[in-house]
Amino acid sequence: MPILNIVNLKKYYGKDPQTTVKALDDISLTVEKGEFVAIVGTSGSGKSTLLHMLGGLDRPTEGKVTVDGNELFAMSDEKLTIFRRRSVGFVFQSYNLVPILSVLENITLPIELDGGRIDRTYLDEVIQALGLQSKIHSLPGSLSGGQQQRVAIARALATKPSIILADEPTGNLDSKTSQEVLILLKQMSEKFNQTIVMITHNESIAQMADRIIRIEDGRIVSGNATPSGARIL
Amino acid sequence: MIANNNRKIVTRLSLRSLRVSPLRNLAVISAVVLTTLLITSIFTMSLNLNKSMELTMMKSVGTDFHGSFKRVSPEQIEILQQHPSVKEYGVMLHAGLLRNEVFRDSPVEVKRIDEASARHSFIHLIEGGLPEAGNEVVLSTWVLDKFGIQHALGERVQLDIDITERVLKQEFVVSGYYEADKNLAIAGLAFVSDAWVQQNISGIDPAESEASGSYVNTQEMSVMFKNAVDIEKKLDKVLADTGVNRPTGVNWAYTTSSLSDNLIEFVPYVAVIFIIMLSGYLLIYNIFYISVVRDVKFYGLLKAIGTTPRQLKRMIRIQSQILYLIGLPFGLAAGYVIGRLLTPMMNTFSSEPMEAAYSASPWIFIGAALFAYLTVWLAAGKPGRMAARIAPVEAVRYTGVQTTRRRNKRSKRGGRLHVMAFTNLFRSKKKLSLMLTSLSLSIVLFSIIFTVIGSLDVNKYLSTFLSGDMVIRNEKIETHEGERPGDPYKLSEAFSSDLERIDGVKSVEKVYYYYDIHDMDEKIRAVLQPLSETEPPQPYLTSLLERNSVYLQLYGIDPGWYDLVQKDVIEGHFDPQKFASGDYVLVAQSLMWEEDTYTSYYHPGDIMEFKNLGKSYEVMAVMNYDALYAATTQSFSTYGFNAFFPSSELTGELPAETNPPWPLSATLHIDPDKLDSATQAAKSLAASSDELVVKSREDYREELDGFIGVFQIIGYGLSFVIALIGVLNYINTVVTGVIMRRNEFALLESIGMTKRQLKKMLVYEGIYNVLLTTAITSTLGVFLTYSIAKSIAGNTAFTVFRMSWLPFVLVVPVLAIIAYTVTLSSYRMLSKATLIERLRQGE
Ligand SMILES: Nc1ncnc2c1ncn2[C@@H]1O[C@H](COP(=O)(O)OP(=O)(O)OP(=O)(O)O)[C@@H](O)[C@H]1O
Ligand SMILES: [Mg+2]
Repeated sequence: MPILNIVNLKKYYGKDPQTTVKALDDISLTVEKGEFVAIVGTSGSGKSTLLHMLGGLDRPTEGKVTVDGNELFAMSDEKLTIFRRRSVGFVFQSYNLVPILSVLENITLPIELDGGRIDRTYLDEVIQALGLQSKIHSLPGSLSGGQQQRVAIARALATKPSIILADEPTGNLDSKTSQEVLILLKQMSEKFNQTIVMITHNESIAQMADRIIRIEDGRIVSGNATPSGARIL
Repeated sequence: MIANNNRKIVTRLSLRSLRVSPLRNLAVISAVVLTTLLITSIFTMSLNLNKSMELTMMKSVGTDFHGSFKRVSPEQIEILQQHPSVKEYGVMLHAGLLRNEVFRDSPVEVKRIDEASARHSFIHLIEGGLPEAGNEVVLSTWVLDKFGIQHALGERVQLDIDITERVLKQEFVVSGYYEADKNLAIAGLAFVSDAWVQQNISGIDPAESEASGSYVNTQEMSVMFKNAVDIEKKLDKVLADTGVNRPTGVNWAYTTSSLSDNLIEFVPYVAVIFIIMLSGYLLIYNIFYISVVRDVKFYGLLKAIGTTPRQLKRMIRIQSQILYLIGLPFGLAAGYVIGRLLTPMMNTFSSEPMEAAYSASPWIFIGAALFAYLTVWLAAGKPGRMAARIAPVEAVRYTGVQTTRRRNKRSKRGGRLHVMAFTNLFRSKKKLSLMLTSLSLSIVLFSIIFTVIGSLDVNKYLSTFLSGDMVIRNEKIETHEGERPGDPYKLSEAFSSDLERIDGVKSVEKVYYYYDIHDMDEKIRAVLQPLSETEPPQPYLTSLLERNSVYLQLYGIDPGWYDLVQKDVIEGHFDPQKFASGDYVLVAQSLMWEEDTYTSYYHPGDIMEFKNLGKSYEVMAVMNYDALYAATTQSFSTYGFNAFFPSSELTGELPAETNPPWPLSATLHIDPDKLDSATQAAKSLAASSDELVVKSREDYREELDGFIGVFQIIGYGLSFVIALIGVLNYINTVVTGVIMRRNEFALLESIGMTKRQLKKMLVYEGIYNVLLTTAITSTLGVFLTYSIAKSIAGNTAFTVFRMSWLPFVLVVPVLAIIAYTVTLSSYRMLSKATLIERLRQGE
């Protein structure tokens, strides 16, 4: 069963036809539940734009995105936000932690915003696995890049979302840390049967994925076939 | 449950946001304190003023009871007092009038009262208690003084009490006395005991004395209801419910002084409160607006993570509420104190002397808190909605050089900074025109107010009240209504010769006054008859026509006034020599029913007969309805008019049985070298009488200074607010513009524009803004100021239009400084990072 279904998605910037940027030019894509997809492509090819559309962070010029049976852009801003905090976990290249909240508060923020109950055991498990026990009361500003990225991952996992969207999660990390963070992410998602869509420039990281989708000039140039085989690695 | 849970995290986020923006908080709190302070002081002042007005009126009525039932029997009192709506009551019995020689001119009523009546009639005994024995009496200090006896209990006094059928002469013992209140209308009262009433007048039939008009042994029952709403209806209902049928009286102090009846008096207050709220709104709104624009990434990130628009709105709302709660107590307390301190000053602008009364009504605080809250609520609303609408991509979008496309477009224009700055101005035409309009408008409004204040003219004001150096007026004459103690002859010939003898007094110019009920002649009827036939009918005019008379005020003026006549003449010519002969009269126009309409029944050359003067006069000239204002009583009767004669015509032989004219005022012309000593001497001469009011030129000047002071406070306050609005709008436009163009500036830098050049470009933009604004204000603005200020000054008394150029000149450097400062600080903001970035870099 596909968890993610994208149909004829277009995103154009600018009204003047001569100068419009076709960031996404008619993209259709399906991702199965539990799948780990890597998106690669040159800079400016439209990867981030696509990811934003998948998470409902921005509205497309045309087309449909369905996540877990919910058509994103048919929802109001309010509904979309609620859906996002319950079902989508984000990891951004620049961490994007809330600076005025402690590490623990950052991690539990989506749950608390939802008024939900915090599953302490699960949370402890995530924090433990990401090695953040000693840092939970610190403010994000006092953490290193790698630590911040791990907090961002913990936050993405906290609500047990069905899908995790990551934009160059290791872009600012050295290769050793990158590897560690990636392995963690993968382990956690496997454990909870989560779907991962990840943008990366790093070929070796892309190789860890079940499928690699290549985008150029807002179009998918390869990888638009769901693999039937089992996961590699 | 869910709502309750997530409320906690929103509150926590709000509190943390507050903690990291101390400067913004301080600004908002100051705005809240300012708003609350101003509103509270306005509320305090208006409630105090209302209370002062009420107190003054109640004192002139003589009681604060809501209403009364007249001439009721003891049995009826028994029935009426049981009615559930009657909360409290007092009974006053009319016993008679004092006939002692000292009270020949000021009647003193003898009454029997109970404790409740005393309490509600402002009778506060200094010593003693209400009379009990038949020979006990309570008097006021004024009455005691008249008798020339000490303020002490046990003093003996001979009272001649007129009970109509005869005058009872009896010696009384003072069992209590109270301070005579000069604001109280009825100063002359004597209170006797019930025992005295039983002994002496209980045999008199109230019905008979009512019929004869003496009212001896009649009782009046005054009542207090739960509140003063619809007193007349309540009185009628009591009568209907109890079946008693007696005349009633409503304490008109409650009806005329109530807020609703005097709504017009409160319009300025409403306007001022609106302005305060508007300025508070703009301040707070701008601070929040800029902070949201600044922290766009922060709100975008929160939204990306799952903070819903409603939660974001609540975050801003909570922050504003907390800041409001912090500022509120300070604003309320300071506002109350200031309002209280300003009240006596406000009272001096009332036309009647007023005693300051203070209100500590909780409504002042509740009202001010509510209005301030409304201000904050509205001000935080739009920034909240803006934060809610922020697209979550804002937070995650990579900021930096984005396209090469724009680069080409820019480079075509070349690196000429001022050209770039100029084109930048017109990028958002809507924003630019909004900013220019708001700035120009505030400058124009400021100039108008400045010009009007500058046009106030002290001499014009003085001349309307005073023609010489000082005036002594007989105020009692000017209050026709009611029986008031007083001697209308106080300004006697003997007194004025005393005045003339003062060293330095060059002349004493007197005005005599005669209230004339004048038979209507053909000429008056010719004007009034057609008016009475129009719809809707005017009861007052109909009654005048039925009575066939109008009310005139005749004035006899001394030659010193002649110089002032010609400027008020609107028809004919004033010839002082001919006028002094005594065959001529000057008539003023009549005040008509409709506002601002005046008509003259007569024209120069007409012959008028004055029955009460026993003579006919030729009309020499027609004057403004308020001609020689300083000489008159300054009151006017509708359809009546003022007429002026030489004073000899009023002081000479008048037909028998007509009332003698009253000396109304004496105006002193004093040698400038001896002004001070002569003023002092005249004042001390006049001080021997409590009915003469002495005012010197200096006194009037002080009055006007006070008036101008208030006018300036309100006027400059208003223009300050308006200027604030303009400047805030400007700051807002510039700062948000810079924040929003942050990426573009980064791009410009990356293609080689130095920070210095960037700063220069921004300064150019500021200069162009100032130039555009100046261009607008120096053309259209000057025109508007000139025409509007001129028409305002033309319609206001005491003003002589004088165009002020200062605001237009002053505005250029002020604007330039503001523009420069704002540009520099927004440029500095650029180099600082946003909230998110600042904190991420580790504090
Ligand atoms: N807000 C915007 N306005 C105009 N153009 C935009 C905007 N956002 C993105 N674009 C354009 O859309 C295209 C795709 O951008 P996108 O950020 O998706 O690229 P990317 O593949 O993520 O690149 P990178 O690997 O450098 O992150 C680019 O040409 C970019 O300039
Ligand atoms: Mg990208």
